[in-house]
Parts: sequence; structure tokens; C-alpha cells
Amino acid sequence: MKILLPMVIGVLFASGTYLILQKNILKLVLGFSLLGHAANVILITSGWIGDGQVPILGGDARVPFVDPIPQALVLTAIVIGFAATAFLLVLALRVYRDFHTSNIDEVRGSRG
Amino acid sequence: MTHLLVLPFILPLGTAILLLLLRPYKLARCVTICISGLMTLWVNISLLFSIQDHGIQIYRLGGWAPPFGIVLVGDLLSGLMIVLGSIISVCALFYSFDYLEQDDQQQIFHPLFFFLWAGTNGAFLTGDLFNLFVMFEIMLMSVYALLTMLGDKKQIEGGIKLISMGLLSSVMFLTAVGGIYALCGTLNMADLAVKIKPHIDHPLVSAVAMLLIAVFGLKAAMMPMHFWLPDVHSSAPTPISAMLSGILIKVGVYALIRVFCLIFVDLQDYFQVFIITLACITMFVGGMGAVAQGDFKRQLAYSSVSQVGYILLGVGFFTVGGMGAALFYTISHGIIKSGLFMAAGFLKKMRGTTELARHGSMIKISPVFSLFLLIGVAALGGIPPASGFFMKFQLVKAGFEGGFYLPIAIALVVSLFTLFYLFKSWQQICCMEQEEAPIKMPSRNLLIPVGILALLALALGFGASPVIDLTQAAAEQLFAPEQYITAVLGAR
Repeated sequence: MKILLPMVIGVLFASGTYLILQKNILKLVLGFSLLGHAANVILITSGWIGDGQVPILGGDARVPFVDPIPQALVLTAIVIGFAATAFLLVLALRVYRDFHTSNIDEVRGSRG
Repeated sequence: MTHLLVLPFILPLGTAILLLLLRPYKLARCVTICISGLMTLWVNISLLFSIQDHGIQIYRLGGWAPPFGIVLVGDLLSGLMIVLGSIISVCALFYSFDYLEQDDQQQIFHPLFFFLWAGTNGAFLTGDLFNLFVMFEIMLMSVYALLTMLGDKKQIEGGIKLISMGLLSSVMFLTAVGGIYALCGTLNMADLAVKIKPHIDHPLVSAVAMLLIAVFGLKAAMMPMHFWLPDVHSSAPTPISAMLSGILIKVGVYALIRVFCLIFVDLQDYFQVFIITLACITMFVGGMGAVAQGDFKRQLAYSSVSQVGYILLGVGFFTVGGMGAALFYTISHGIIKSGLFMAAGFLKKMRGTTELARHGSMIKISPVFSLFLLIGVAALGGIPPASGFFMKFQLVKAGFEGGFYLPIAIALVVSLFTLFYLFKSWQQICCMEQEEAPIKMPSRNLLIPVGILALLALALGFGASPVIDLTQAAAEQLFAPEQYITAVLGAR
């Protein structure tokens, strides 16, 4: 796990960054949700002990527990990210209806 | 323990929920908005006085002792910021009644507006890094909806930019939170300030500090991250533009100050040159951008970028004088700029556009409006009786005391540009003859908040010294972080 998780984070960040640099607005949405998940996994790993056990009272006191706080934080972050992604998706739909395009470069309301 | 400290957050939040329930009843909504808007303003002002009298106050949410529970902390900086926020919010609320003519728009606008207010107050008061993230999101979520509410094409474009900015900054914020939690095992800011001391040379600390600069700089529109601001601030409905420029970009500046004066105190020297350089470029780029604009609202938006540069310059000095100047600048700019945006909204209502070339003759049409606009323009340009002169004077003084001659020279040159573009616009709007385009006279009530803010800007100039003393006291408190730490964690 100690090697796997950093690799997952790396792949998520790399693909998320690639996707948000694309012109298609749906790829932008996907890219942001991948980036959000990468950040969530980073947060999870900040409380990871390696081979710790589930942080519930009554466990074996000799084995270290995993820190539960980052897990609670990640739940909050997931909910917030979900809401923001939903809003961005609705906006993407609105862009498609108003501008008849999914190309971010053609979304020009103010100038030319 | 009094409950005064939690009211600035709970009151708008409760009002927002109540307003959602009261949707069909217009009169009940209006009464609720007036009562709780004024109550929040009153609570925030009395909170500031109570902080001034009794020192830093804390509130343990749910009764959990820090560092385990979340605490709200009110020091002078937070007190000043929430008072500034509520003055602007009350004016924007009042403005919105006449600005949004249809009732169904108001039904959506007002609950969201109170969520936004709750989020900003919460962000100013919280003493927990993750809670700050949550408050940012409450704030941003409501801004996303408020910005795109009217569904104009410009607003959709602005919305895409704002949401991309918001999502990117929340990803970086979460990464920074993860990094700092892995190192210190706490997220309470006062506790972090203590626990980070032994790790200060760890490479992760400067990485986290850099990420946080990026996050807060993105929110405050610091130079390489300023690209989203002009489109967003100029396309938003006017009461929201006033809020965005008046208080929301200041939330980023506030968070930057808080983090660098509490947690990363030892990194101040390390990041000083970086912050000052970016601040100077921000000033310059914003000023240049504003000169080139032909649209009044876009010009004001670029001017916000430039003014944020001044504030960041004051912060970057990392001296008591510089910080005090930056705080005074923040307050004064918030009041002036939101007033100017509301004036721009009046013009938009009148001719349906804010393009400068299509306006004129305002001095004949509405002399009162011209006077208010002149006060605003003179104040932002830094003409003596208004507060703008003192904000620039304080900053320059602090710069000379600290020996930062080059940044101050740049600041002075850019302020000439400020004076130039603002007066050029004023002349175009008020003095140039304009025959074409039938005008539709908007409700005169729109001028009341503009007038209040203009008079406040004047009052801040004539009565500058108590406010300057207060900002200096706040700055002194910021440079004695032990006070904050002791207030939160108790004497140790």
C-alpha cells in the first residue's frame, strides 16, 4: 500500500491535469473530479500508518490504529466536490444549449 | 463564554434557511431580510467593540476543547473584516431590492446571498484550517449560483471561469491540508503554530506554504492567477459584483495574512521578496489593464486587481506599519469599490450597457449621481479629503520606514494611472454630451446605498485616525501571535 497509493495519486494528478488542459468542457469536468479525488487520496494517506487497524474502540491495543480524522475530513471533501461537480455539469449543459458547442474556446459572452 | 462570537455565522445561515421556507410570502421575506440584515450588522459591530475591550475571544463549537474541537476565534483582524463585510452586505442587500425587478429572481437571490454572507463571516472567524476550507466552499458555492442566476451569456462564461478557479483552488487547499496534517497531526491554527516550530526546516513545510500562497492568491487575484477576475466581476449581477470586489477577494488576502502571521511566522523572510514582487506586478498589470478598458465595469474589475496588489504589498512588508496600512487599505478599498460598482449598476439599468462610449451627460440627468461618482472616483484615486489618500499615504509611509523604495516607486507610478483612468471615465460619464439612446430612468432608491458608501468613504477620510489606530492595533496583535495561541490553547 505504501508504494501503491503514491502511484495512484501520481496517476490521478497527471491524468487530471491532462484533462483540464483539454478544450472539451466535459473533459474539464472529468479532469476536475479526478484532481479532486487525487487530493482526497492525499488526505487519506496523511492519516495512514501502513498496517494500522480500524479505529474502533475495543480493538487490539498492541496494534496501532489508523488516524480517523483524515477519513472524516475526506467525507466532507467528497460531498463538497460532488456538489461542485454537479453544478459544473449543469453549467456544461447550459453552455451546450446557449452556445451550441462543447468547445471551451467558443464560450465567449463578452468579446467577439 | 458568550455566544456572541457564533452569531455572525448562525444568524445569516438561519435567515437563509428561513427565506427558503418563506418563498411564497413576499412581505414576510422582506421583513425577515431587513430585520436579520440589520441584526447581523449590529452583532458584528458589537463583536468588534467587545474584542477591542476584552481582547481575543474564542468560542468552542459543541463545547469541545481545542485542539480537538473546532474553535471560532475573534481577534481584531477578524472583527474588522466582518464589520467591513456586513457594511457592504447590507448595502448590497438594500440595492438588490430595486436592482432585481422580478420577484422570482429575488426569491432565489436572497437565500443565496445570506449563505454567502454566512460563509464569509465564518471564514473570517474560524480558527481551524479545514474549517476554513469548508467556509470557502460555502462562500464559493453561493457565488457560483448567484453569478449564473440570471443566465446571461456573459455570466455563463464568467461562471465557467469562476468554477474552474474554485475547483482548482480547493484541490490545492486539500493537498496542502493533507501535507500539513501528515507533518503535525493537527489542523487547529494555533496548535499548528506551536507544533510546526520543530519541523520548520522540513521541505514539506515550504511546499505547503507555497501551495497556500497559490490557493489564497488565486482567490485574491494575485498576479499570475488574476485571469478569472475581470470576466467574473464585470459580468456578475451588480450587488454580487460589489460583494465580490468589496469583500470576497479580501477573504483571500485575510487568509494569507492569517496563515503567514500565525503558522508560517518563521517563513516570512523567505517569502517576502516573492510576495512583494508578485504584488508589484499585480499592481502594474491591473492598472495597465484598467487603462485599456472601454467598459466601466471591466475597468473597475481590473482596478480591483491593481488595488489588491497594493494590499498585498503592504502585507509583504511584514512590518506592523505595513500590515496596518494594508488593513486600512482593505477597509477603505472595500467601501469605495463596492460603491463604484453599484454606481456602474445604476448606469447599466439606465442604458442597458456599461460601455463608456455610450454614456454621458450624467451631470444634467442626475447631478446627485455625478457627485457620488465623483466622490468615489476621487477617493479611489487618492485625492486628500477622502479615505483613499490616507490609505495610500499609510502604505507609502510604511514602505519608506521599511526601506522598500523600488516597490513604493512602482506603487506611486501606478496610482497616477489609477487617477488617470478613473477621471477619464468620470469625465466621459458625467460631462461628455450624449444624445443617442433613449434612457430609462431607474429607481432613485438605487442611489441610496451608493450615497451611503460614498459618504462612508468621505467619513473614513475625515475621521481616519480612530480607524487607523484600530488597524495598527490589529497589526500589532498579528505580530504577537503568542496572544492568539494563548487565547485558544490556554496558558502553558
